[in-house]
Amino acid sequence: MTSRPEFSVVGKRERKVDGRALATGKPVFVADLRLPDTLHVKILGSPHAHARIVRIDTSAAEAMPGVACVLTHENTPPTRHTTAGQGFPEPSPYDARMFENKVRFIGDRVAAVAAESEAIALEALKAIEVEYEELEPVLSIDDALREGAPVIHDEADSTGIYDAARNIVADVDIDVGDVSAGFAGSDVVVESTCETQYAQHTPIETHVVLSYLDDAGRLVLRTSTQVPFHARRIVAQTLGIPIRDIRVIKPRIGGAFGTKQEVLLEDIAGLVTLRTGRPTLIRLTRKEEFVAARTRHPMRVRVKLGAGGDGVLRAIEMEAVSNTGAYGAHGLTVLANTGSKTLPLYNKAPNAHFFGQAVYTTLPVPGAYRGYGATQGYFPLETAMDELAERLGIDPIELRRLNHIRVGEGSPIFEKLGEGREGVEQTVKSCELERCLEIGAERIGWAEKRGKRLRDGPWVRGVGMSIMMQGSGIPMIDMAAATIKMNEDGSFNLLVGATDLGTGSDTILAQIAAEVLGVPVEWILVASSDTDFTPFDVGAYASSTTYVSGTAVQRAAEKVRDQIFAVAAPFLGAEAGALHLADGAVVGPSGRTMMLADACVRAMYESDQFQIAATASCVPAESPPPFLANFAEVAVDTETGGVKVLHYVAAVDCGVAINPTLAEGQMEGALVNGIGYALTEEMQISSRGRVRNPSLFDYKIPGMLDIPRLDVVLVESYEPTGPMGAKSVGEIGINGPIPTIANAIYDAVGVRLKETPFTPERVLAAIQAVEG
Amino acid sequence: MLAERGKAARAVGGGIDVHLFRVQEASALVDLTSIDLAYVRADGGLAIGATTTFTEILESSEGAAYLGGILVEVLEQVASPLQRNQGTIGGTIGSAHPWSDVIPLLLVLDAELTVYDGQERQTPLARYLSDRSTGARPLIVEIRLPAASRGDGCAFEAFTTTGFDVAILNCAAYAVLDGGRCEIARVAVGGTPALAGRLFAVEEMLVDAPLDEAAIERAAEKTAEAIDARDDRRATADYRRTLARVGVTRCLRRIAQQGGIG
Amino acid sequence: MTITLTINGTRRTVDIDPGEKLLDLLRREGVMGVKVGCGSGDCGACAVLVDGRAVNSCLLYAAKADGAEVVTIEGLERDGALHPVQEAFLDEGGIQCGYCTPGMVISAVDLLSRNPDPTEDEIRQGLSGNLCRCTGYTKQIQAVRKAVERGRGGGRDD
Repeated sequence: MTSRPEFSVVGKRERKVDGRALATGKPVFVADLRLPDTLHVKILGSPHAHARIVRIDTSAAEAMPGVACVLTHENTPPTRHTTAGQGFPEPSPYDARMFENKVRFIGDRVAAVAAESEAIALEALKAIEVEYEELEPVLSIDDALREGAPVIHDEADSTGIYDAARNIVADVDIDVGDVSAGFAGSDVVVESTCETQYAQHTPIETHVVLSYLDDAGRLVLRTSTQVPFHARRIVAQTLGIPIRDIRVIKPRIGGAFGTKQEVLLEDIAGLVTLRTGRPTLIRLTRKEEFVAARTRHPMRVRVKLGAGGDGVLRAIEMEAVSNTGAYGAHGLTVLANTGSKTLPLYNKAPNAHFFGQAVYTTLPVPGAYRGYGATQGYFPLETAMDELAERLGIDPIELRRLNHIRVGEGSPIFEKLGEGREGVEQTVKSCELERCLEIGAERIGWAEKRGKRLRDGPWVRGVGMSIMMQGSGIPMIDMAAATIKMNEDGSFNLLVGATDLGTGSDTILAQIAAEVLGVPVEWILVASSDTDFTPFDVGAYASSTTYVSGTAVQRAAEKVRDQIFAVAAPFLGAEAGALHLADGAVVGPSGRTMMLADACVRAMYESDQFQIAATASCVPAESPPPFLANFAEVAVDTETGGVKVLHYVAAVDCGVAINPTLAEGQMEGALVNGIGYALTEEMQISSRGRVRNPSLFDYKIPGMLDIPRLDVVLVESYEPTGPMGAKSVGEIGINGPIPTIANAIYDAVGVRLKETPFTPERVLAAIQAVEG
Repeated sequence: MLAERGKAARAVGGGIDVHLFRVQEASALVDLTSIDLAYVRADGGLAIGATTTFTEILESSEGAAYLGGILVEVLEQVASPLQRNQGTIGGTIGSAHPWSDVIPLLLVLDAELTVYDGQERQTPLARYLSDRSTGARPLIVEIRLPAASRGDGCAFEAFTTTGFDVAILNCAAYAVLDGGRCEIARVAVGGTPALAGRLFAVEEMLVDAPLDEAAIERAAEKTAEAIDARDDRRATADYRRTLARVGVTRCLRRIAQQGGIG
Repeated sequence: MTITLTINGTRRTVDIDPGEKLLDLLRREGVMGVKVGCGSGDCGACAVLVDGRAVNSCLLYAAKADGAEVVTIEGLERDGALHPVQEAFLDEGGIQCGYCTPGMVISAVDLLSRNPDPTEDEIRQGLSGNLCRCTGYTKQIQAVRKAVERGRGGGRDD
């Protein structure tokens, strides 16, 4: 490990800068701001999975007392756009309209009513008459691809769809070398097809937006979003108004995990406010959140591995078919990520092939979700590796050791496959996977437990492992910027577009700035995610905030530091280059100091006055992967198929952890979410395409009683291209549980599960199939 | 007061189920917690007032002492602490959810209710439930559990998806053992997905016979046959039969152990 | 109808709709610390103390709070000093997005008022009605243990 410098603030378990407000229940969330005369909007959702709207009559609704306005396809802009919050030009099709005369999933937008109260709005929805021409629904990938299947997007004005006539949103096919030759030359070949389910983020705060006109008559959108700048641009595009006429503010938000990397409600709220002049609140109920927000992409992924008797991979093939639902937001990029964040891990394979398609169905709409395709890809990859190890007679850990990417190495996949288009060549510069494996194996008790199948009544125990990588931002595409300005007491305002979802980015960015400027974190006053006042940032996704936004902050702080040196140098009688910052002061070579406050007073009031301030940006040239080794001990109830995760060890290399508590918190949250995805979470869809369990009563996410003993170990490396040596940690954890638990179940009871979630019923059926 | 408000008025304890399960036709809600029906009294057996919350039962020494603590064991895993602070035992019986954990337990304990519908009378819980299914809704005033017998034992099993969840299926069993023989046996399975009922065919098999492994296995098989298992969102009928078999086995084994056998 | 209740120490007389829930009443009265998560008692984000017991305010008819003492997260602070549970959540990383925090802290306060030295299992049980999607619960459990230790070290006893 490259030795890292001593830090004063970075690496410390600082309290979150917004912590106290959250701990005391301050009104800092979107819906906590109450404005007089606010209108409440309810959205009418389609009762059919696939239908044309032949006639829609809103006159009765409009005439109801208390109804301020009703929106349908007949009175709203028809602009095709994508709801996906991605960099422009977005790598998702422009296949959505605000409202349309066609609906493509149960819950799809039909109309919206703005009224004095939610109750009136709901009554008004009932008064809207809609005549539908029902069309044949398309309820699975196979149905969508079948010859003669209904065309879900048959409109003329959508763009960016790979082959609309065949319901194919995206098609990816990249290869390295010749996998057929590779397999032919392999001693052992293993093939595995896995399927993952419809799952949902279920942030505890649903989607919500409050729009209003400010005193200058400009539209302000106070919204629960991951992507304020993309939201501003997409709303401008959808409503046909200039970007300068919109301000987007993200206050505190109640979790996102990808579902808020989407412009779902802001267009409706904005248009109602523009037409009525009144503040407008839209908040999805929990049921609406399930039905009409965003979900995980269900996928079928086949992996084929070929290896020599020496355990080194000769060929990897991955074929992915992704169900992207009624609209193509994130369809291409999640698909591409399934391969781009998995295959490079095993760069020892000289031959690799990744191909697949993202397909429309008339079902709830998947979007961005932590892991973003890698989660679905690691399931078959890491379980096939487990199988391969068994066939080769090699320990699974040893098989990983023989094949994983190391420092100084690259992979042709990096440049062939990015997010939707070609990627960027890169070489790994930091990787502590070996130590992660060592620590993880020791902590779980791998040698003592593997293959032992310890019994306790009907319970049998097993251990499993897996490894993975992710990325840190989207190279050459993501951009983040930061502005720092100094105040005359030595404090600084840090303005960042970067979006804190509860992840703590405000805090770690403050820590980075504080480190450069030699001050305590409390002297950095963070303001974030306001398109009027903070510089651009793509937003929180792709694990980019620490690495990309953090670098922008570091650069801005360095520029400000240089300005401070220029002011202090004559006072300290030294060259600027001989100065450094520490403990709130500028320190000269002789040890003479000038307090930061004095330097700023000088610059603000006394001589050659100027505002000490700087803006800096970052476009990353690469996306250094964090690495994770997972180890789980499970117990399987052989009578009921119940699975309990007893102990889960996650040893993660995220580079330098700017704030270890927050880094651990990201891992723990992602792991528990992943455990739910592996064992209990499933959106059930009826034969008509309706979500059967749109409530937390029926869609079970892990609670306090369901978590294992969680052991997250930060195994730090030093990433030379990262701010203070950091990489990222936001997503990688969620990829671990499915394959790790699957491998542990195999160790316990000898069954290989290929379909998530691993419900007791499925596990028991698999056990009985093996026994019978 | 209920009589004044007429048929459309509903009595509420904690008010949870009236809200959650959309009792739309209620024109008025009459809050019974304003009458003092919250108490737990040991009087040979156990008498629990209808508006006693789950938490109050759990915290009462009488409740904890009853029958080896079975009430505590079952009630403390029902719903969440927040709902246990608010929900009442009368309310939960009155709602009679098919997944109810409380009802199968009370059925095998041979609970009796004191109800009021113009006049006060006693009725066995089972009778209350069957009357209820034909529309009768007398007010529940008190729940009475009989005194413990020598050699009795009770056990309960619930299978859920996550920890804070209703049962996919649950089983309750009660037996009085004398020298290893079953003198009394009561078995109820709920969440099939129907509401729990006693399985008399299973009980007949167990009574007047040793509660040994063979008897338990037969009883478990019979249980799987006897329940009306159906598919629903949470499980298939087949799987429910498996759970019923496993659940009853585990319950009876535990009772056998409690009685010093096995 | 009209009810009178005490909210965080202040007596208030309010007009309510008979069908209204305590959650709606509280937020209507400007008590924004109480959060809307599901409306069905499944997530616990709306938990408040009513006469010392933590309940889902989305399930409690406001009328049933007539004459009651209601304490929300905003009511835990005393003279600028946070409750040991609040301090511990801040120190241990028990707060990420903060949306589940009010309900989680209220449940923890209720737990500790009845069980001042809970085991880890008892903490999990006591908070089992509060869902969190951000933290994975581990640091929240640690925070409650920390609050207990603080309490024993001479902090506030509640």
